[in-house]
Amino acid sequence: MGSGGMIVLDETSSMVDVAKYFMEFCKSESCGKCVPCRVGTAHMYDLLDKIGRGEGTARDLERLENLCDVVQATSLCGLGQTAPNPVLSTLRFFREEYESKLVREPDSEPALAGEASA
Amino acid sequence: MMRDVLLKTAEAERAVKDEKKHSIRICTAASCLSCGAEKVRKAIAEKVKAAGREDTAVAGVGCMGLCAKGPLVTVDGPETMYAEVTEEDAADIAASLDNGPVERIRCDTTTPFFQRQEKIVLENCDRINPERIEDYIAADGYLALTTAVLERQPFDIVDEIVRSGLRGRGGGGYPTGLKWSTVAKAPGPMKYVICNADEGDPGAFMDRSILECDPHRVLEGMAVAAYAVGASEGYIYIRAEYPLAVKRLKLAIRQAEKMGLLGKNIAGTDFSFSIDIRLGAGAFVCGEETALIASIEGQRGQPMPRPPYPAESGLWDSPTLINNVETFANIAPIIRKGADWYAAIGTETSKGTKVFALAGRINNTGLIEVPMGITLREIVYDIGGGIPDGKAFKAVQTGGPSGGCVPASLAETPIIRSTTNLCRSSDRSWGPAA
Amino acid sequence: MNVRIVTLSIDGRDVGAREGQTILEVAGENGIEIPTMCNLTGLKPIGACRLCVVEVAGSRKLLSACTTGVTEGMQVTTDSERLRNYRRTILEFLFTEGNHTCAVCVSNGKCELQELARKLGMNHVDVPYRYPRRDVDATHPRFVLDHNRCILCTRCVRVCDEIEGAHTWDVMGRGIDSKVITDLHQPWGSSTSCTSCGKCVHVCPTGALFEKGHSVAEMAKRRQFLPYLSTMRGAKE
Repeated sequence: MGSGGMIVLDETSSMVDVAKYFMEFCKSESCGKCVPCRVGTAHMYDLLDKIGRGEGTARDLERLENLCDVVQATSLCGLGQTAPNPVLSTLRFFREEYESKLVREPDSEPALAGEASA
Repeated sequence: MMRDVLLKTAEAERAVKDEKKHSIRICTAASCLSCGAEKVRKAIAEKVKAAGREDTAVAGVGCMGLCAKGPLVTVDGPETMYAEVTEEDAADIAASLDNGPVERIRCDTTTPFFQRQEKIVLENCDRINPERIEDYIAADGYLALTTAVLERQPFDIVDEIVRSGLRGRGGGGYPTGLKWSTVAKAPGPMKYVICNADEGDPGAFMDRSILECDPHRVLEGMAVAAYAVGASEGYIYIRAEYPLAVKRLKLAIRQAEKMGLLGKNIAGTDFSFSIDIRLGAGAFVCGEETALIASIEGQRGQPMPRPPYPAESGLWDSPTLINNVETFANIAPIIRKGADWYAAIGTETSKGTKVFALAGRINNTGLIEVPMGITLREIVYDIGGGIPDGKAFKAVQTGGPSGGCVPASLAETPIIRSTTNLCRSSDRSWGPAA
Repeated sequence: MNVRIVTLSIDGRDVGAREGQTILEVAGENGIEIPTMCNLTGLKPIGACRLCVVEVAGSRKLLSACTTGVTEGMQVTTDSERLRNYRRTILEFLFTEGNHTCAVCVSNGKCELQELARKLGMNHVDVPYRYPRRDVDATHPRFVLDHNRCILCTRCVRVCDEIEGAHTWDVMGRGIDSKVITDLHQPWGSSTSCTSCGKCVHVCPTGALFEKGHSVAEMAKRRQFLPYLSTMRGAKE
């Protein structure tokens, strides 16, 4: 899998969109055999879509990172184990792009509200 | 076939080439074909014939790299290159043999895109006709295989690959020599060699280009590997979305079999090795080796947990060597020129060169081969010619869905087989050492 | 036959094992329970549900206990905070993927998925339910397939192929759209390969496969036959 393709991105590219594109790819290419990859990529894609639409909360971002960890650690093959990489690397270097798209926690979801701005 | 026959073929082929004063080469890889290279080739051949120039050879060859500006044509070597050639330019190009280069469509080959590259895997691409085995033989083709089977012991070949420091080019970066020696040591009456050509990463076309432009190089690498590990059957698992590569591979296998370079008793020795092609049906996961094996076996293309690794128990539970296209393409030059020569290229930890497919927001999209240790900045700005429309360079997404995004801020770090935590498990991708 | 004995440590305990055994088997023999779902004694292990992943010293990756053979000196950890969290999340994945409404399920109280969730302390889900639209196939005269409750463990596929030898079941599609099918995606009732032996029904861990005539919480599965049949089959081969 990962080999020598280089896709150059300029300032107009949204890193959340890039991560979402690759997650959509992994979701549709997951073979469906193991649970973390089959279901995890679908959930991660939904969360990236939600954040990309400007409807995600800080709690969603935290969920996304947690899912990345689970899918990376427990998937059966390289596809699932590396599927979170585009999310993790964009989060590492372009976290502000994710955070700028977040909305305030709705009141019905009080969990971790204090950490939302951290 | 004995080696003197091979050498005679090479000599005869070179003699034919020497008779011709001029050569016009047209890129006929997928990218240039898609923008009309075949029409250009026909038009140039007609004009040359009409001009009565029997001293000029017109040939379709493999990829010249600068896919952004296809169709590409060279006249008498890579220095005189024409870009975005159309049928209307054919007359001018034919006339240029007397009148000098056509400056109107000439492409500057003194730029870093051409000068900064170092070609091992792609060395033949822009000069041989991929559909003629004689072209490959004239370029020292199958010399590595015949030398190996006639003069060297299998363990000696494995040792050469170990010392070269070559690592798998498919993304995992596992030491190739170590993999070979594991398979060589594995007991079993039957062993297999598989070439993984199920290239599926979005934006990647290295393997396709190699197979379209120099299919014999991959066959030779596989045959050398089979001799080294003791395999007698091989498969190329290639995705069906690469029809041109499949067509050229099939042709190449037939040609090699006809000349006794594949099949029974290769080069007159006891060593036999046959290669079959298996087409992928469009599943990305079949690039994963255990899923690929399941698919060849006729099962649903799903991975199995490792261990056991295919080197111990792979295809039909036999020891199986799986390498990627680009890895096999490195074998013949290593055997021909020696491990020390190869190990001197690149960096301390990452030897040799790497082929990259440049795509996205960059001026010179295309296929490049660079020594390990080059920086991302050199690739993007020097070779790649920078970002179009005066926009700022932001990041490079490398290694496909299993890779990561390398930000512009890390552009100065050298490209090696990344051993650091770019994205916590980035040891599967080729990228800068952060 | 010459059987080599290896010693390894599981959760700090030194244990002996026969070479060729899996971590799961050796742990079980020593009273160490590792949660499983797709695995069933008598069927070929496939390492698909990933609930049985364990930490092995020297391996960066977690390994599925059901498929990984024991080796001399191996150090295995089957239980840790990290593993418990992963297993709970995997269970959450299973619950959110389908439509598991225990209160109206024939297997309520007799369901392996439900039981495992209770055991592992999964008391809520952190990811949204997906509420997929899925079909029910009641065309077979005696059995029903309810895709809503299927967790794709493929026990039915394997028992039908490996034990019964009919290979009526298989998986179609991929990723989140995968589903089990009979024959070439024909209604179960019109399957020409199905022998109506019912093994698939009884190895199914949830209420996805059940016998007609059972109401809520009435479908108890009997799978004691499986080790016996697989031993017989192994002896024959």
